[in-house]
Amino acid sequence: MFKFAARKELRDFTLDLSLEVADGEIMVLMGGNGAGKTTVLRLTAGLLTPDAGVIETKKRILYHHQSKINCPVQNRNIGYVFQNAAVFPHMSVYDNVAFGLRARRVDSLELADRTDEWMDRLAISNLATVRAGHLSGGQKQRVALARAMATKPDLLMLDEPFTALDQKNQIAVREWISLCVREQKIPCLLVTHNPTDAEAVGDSVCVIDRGCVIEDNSMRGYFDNAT
Amino acid sequence: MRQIIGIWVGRGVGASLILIVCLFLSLPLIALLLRVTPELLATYIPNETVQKALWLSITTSIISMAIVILIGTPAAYFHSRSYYPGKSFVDTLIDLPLVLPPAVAGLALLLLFGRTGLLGKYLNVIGIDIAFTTFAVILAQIFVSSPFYIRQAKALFEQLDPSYEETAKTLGSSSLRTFLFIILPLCATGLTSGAIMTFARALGEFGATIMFAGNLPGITQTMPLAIYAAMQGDFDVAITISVLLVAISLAIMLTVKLLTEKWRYNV
Amino acid sequence: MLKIMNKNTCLLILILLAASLIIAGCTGIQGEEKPVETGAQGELIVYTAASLTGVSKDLGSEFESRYPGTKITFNLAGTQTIKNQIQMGAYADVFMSASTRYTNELMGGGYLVNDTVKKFTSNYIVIIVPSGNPGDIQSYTDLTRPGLKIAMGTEEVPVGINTRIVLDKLSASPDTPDGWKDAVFQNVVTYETTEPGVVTKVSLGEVDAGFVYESSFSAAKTGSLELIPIPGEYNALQIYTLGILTDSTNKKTGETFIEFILSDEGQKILKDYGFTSISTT
Repeated sequence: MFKFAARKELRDFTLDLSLEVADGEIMVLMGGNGAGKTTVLRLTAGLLTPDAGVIETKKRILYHHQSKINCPVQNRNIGYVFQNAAVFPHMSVYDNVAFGLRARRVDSLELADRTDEWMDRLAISNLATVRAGHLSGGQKQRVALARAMATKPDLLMLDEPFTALDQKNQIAVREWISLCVREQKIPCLLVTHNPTDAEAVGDSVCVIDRGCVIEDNSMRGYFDNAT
Repeated sequence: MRQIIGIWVGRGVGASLILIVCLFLSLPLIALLLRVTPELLATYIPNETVQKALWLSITTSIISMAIVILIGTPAAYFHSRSYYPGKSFVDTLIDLPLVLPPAVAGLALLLLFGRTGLLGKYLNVIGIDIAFTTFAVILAQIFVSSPFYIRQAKALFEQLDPSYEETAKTLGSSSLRTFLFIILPLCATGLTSGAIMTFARALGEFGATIMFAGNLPGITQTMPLAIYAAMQGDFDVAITISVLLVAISLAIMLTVKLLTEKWRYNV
Repeated sequence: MLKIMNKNTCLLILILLAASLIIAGCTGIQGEEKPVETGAQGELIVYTAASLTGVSKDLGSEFESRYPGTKITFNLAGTQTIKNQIQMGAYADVFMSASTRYTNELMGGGYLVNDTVKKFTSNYIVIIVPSGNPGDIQSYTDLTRPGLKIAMGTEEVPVGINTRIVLDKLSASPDTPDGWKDAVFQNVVTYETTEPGVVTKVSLGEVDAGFVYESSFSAAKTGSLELIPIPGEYNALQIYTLGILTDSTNKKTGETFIEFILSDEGQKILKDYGFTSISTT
């Protein structure tokens, strides 16, 4: 479960919206350029601080304005895949996937298990020793996804994961994402500007413009799941 | 037809200008090298003045470079990641030694750290003397050479795509870990070439050193000072040291070039 | 390096280079002023020993006011440096040397018109200490006290050569303790490449004592230095010589300049700066 209800004064407009995503469900955040989609992800990740509101996952309160709770980025336990995938180019694929586990001091046996498991699931085991800077766009997306999932996040966020990919890879990545979210039963927030992607991958869609929700069918998805 | 002639004239002018630049830069060095014979080098490289100056120059330049890296890297990082009042003033201050004549730097250091200087008079009371010591050589080198590294580091950190360190943070990585394992390796090539340029500048430092550290063989007489002193006596010693410095400088420039061309990550 | 320099910097450097070329060109033209047949005229370039820095200003302005239409330009550096520059082809009209050794070298090489070469003044070595005498130096024997800081000239500059002669003579004196000279060298923190370099380090108080010419003490601002004389029998007289360069295109003015230096007026100015007159032979 993921709840977002926050306000942030931006340069051109005020972002002020509420979202709710259930476990195992993908909500697609849609909107034009500069609508505030990425800002929602950055506020959730803690890379930006809201002016007011509450952000929480199943396990913890990430931000609570009145109680002055503002969980540091490092402790939010959110998987965030950036638009450019941001794989660490100087590291091998293995070290990329293991990075979050090492940072969280997961013990070495479990670290190896989980890294192998996620490389296996996303079919990148054969690339384990390849330097990540040399990968193709689709491979980078999978590495970034595996790296995020290996840390067992409470929420998965993806920013335009399909833009840099060709048709074939787009379909593959969609399937990987669905697989991760359903199996791990975590909520997922996916940003895209492409309605085809939204329809293909999303359980619910939320369209925003200038920081406000203008169309939301998320509640239906939420109730469908709950009942 | 006229167009074709125009193109050829243009090329001719371009080629001759390049030739002028090349000749202007290379002829002095050729003149220097023509004065050198293997016998001369064999005689004078073991010379005590040359050996002392070479050893002193290399050790002090390495120490200066190390200090600039240790303090300059985190300083440049914090500077590039924060906004504070007077930031642009700090930017200018960092670059200042690039345009400041080294003699001015030496005089200023002497007036600060000298025995009667602003700070030196208090240090003198507790028994610390800086002027005319090897430490003064290092301070002078750091003063004039730090911009080469810090400027480069600042630019690299500013240009680095923030998504790498932001991703690292969302994965639970502390700021220190992110800095050491993500930011530093991604900037390593550029930082290395900056450090080498700093070393090269420290090695060539003359004006500030002779003002602030004096000229004492084995203690403060670095290679450029030894050249200057030898110019007044044994000309062959001056030539030998100059040739050594040219060789070191060329090796440095080649290393930097190779590093920046071959060692680049596919980001 | 290239990365550091942006386009604007490069452009600036180019403009500066161009400007300096133009300026250099202009001064070249200024040199060829209309020749007038009466006596001394035009610019005289005088390569001058650094220890004459103070007195050279007064000598120059006095000469220029006596002989309107003349202009004296001094190039001041250590005698060995200006000697090197002349040997490397630098243009000069007059050479004013603090060292007979280097003057002889130039005469031997045919750089000087030998019959114009004259001795014109002399100088003694003295010990100077900063005002207040922080090192508490009462006599030359105090120079060996551990922890003192001493500045002297390198063994190539005339002042350095004479300092070493003085040290040798002093250490031969029966009043001087054994090992005195070595102990003095132990306290040397810098060998300066010019005589004014020694004076500066002493007057700034950065060293406790320095070996310089008496003239530098006289030229210094009153109260900035204290003097510890070295007995005459142990001192080394520094003889100053001057002469006209073979390549000089203005020998006539050069001769007038030499006459002026040797005249009573010239000698008086030198004396005011602490130089010791010598019989001009």
